[in-house]
Amino acid sequence: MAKILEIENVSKFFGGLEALKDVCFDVQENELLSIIGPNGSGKTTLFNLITGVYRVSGGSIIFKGQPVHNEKSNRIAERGIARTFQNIKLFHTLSVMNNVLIASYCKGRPQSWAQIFGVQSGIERDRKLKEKSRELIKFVGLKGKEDDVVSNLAYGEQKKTEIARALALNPELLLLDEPVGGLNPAERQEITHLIRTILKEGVTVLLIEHDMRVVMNISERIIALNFGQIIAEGKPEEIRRNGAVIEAYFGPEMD
Amino acid sequence: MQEKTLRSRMIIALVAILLLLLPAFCGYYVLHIIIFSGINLITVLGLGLLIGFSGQVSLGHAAFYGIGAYASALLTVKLGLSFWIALPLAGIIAGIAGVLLAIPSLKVAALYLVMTTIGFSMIVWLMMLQWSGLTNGPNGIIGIPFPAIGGWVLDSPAKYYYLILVFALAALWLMSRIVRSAVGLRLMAIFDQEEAAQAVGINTTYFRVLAFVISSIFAGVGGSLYAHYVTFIHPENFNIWVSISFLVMAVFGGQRSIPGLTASVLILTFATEYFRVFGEYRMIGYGLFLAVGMIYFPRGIGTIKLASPKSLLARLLRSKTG
Repeated sequence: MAKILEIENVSKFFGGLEALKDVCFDVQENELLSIIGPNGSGKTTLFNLITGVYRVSGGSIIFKGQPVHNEKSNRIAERGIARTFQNIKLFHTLSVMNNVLIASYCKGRPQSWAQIFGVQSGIERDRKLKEKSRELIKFVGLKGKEDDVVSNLAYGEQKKTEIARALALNPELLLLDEPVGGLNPAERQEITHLIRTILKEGVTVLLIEHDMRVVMNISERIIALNFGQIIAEGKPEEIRRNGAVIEAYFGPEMD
Repeated sequence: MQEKTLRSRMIIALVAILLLLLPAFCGYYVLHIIIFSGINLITVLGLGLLIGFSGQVSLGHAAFYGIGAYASALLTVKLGLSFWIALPLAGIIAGIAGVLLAIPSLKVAALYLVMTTIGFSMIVWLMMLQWSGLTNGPNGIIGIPFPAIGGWVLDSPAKYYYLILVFALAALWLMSRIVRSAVGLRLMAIFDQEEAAQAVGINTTYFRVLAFVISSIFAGVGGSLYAHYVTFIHPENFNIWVSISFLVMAVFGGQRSIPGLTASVLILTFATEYFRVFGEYRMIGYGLFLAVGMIYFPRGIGTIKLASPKSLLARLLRSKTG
């Protein structure tokens, strides 16, 4: 199994604050790796480093054999890494369709000027991209809502739109940041099912999640962070019984 | 359904006939204002893209307008080029200036962008005033030739009106296409959520500069059309008040509404002219008019114009017969 992502001694400091220190791990192709840990442990910071929102203070991030740390976010997206955001960052004045369509332009080569001047190839390309976007919107279960402005959608629907938008990039690595946060059990089921299907398509998924049932259910491997460092790594059963992890969440054992 | 399209086709035909025959029943003065409206529309369409779609507020638009005007004037007067060559060149030169302003603007956050653009506008104005070798300084440029199509010289408002009509309609068409296209969508994405825009592969730097360039090309073309109408330009035609005036037209039109912008330009261009009757109190009258307008339409008149002007007209006709 090939390594699709290598995190090598990655550190991130914000002034005096050590958000991540010497983090090392690999992600195998097509696996589902979950990152867990209490709030503030550095999970989203890790995502931000991988996607180029932050520069690393030390170490390197290798994606498919090429360094991506300190690259610009849009270049990293072109390379094949897509993400969703913990607090939804949709294009709020635009429709579901347009949110997904815009993302499809990354790999879809829209031929904007041909489209503007009414040249057939541009119009045709736009039609194809809209078609693909429609399929993705249907895939996440939002068929019929293509023209709704995203700010009018229910929270769960917005989360699904973000997933559809991320998928429009045709990513090889998908970073999901708390995809079921704030959702009711039925919605959690839907998202879990979606993630399983995405995995079947060959995508590698990196998941940040607080819902332990979901994490234990779908993860093949789990990495636990606390205070910016890895405190445990292994299969769900191992992590569940791991003392350091339990202590990180619940505090030390009381006598 | 068939009735609707037939009706809207009739409306379009009616409007087209109205526009074509306008000079026949409009007085010289009204035609004159309409020509200025058209010139302003072309210029402000660009500014509307910059402010409404890409979220970059510019108080320096008169600079691009002026660069276009001076470029076109100099190319025709000093180099003897034809208007038809000078106009696109003026647009291109204004576009290059757009790149120059865009690049430092990338580094500054929204509020400070206003200051950067004011600064740029001042620099351009000063160049017009002091680079006498090139621009003739405060004396300006006289004898700018009227455009000519073969032997037909456009030397009266009635004739110039048709030139402006063609360019204004072309500008409206082009800008409508741009905002609906992949370019327009990505600009709006950057405006809405820049971090997410980058996360989906949009090169935000490129698109911000592109927005500046498109907007400055439109302004440059507007400036050229202005220069060849008034045949005499000087630096005071392109001062900060002109930039403010353009900004007001763009904002009053409402964000992201091309019909709103069109109405706004028409209303404000006519208002500026008609308030001349108040003499010195003109600007007070204009200011009051604007204030009242903003109270009733706080987000610009574009927000009530959910329908296009054509269907609004249709509704008007329907209520009269119904």
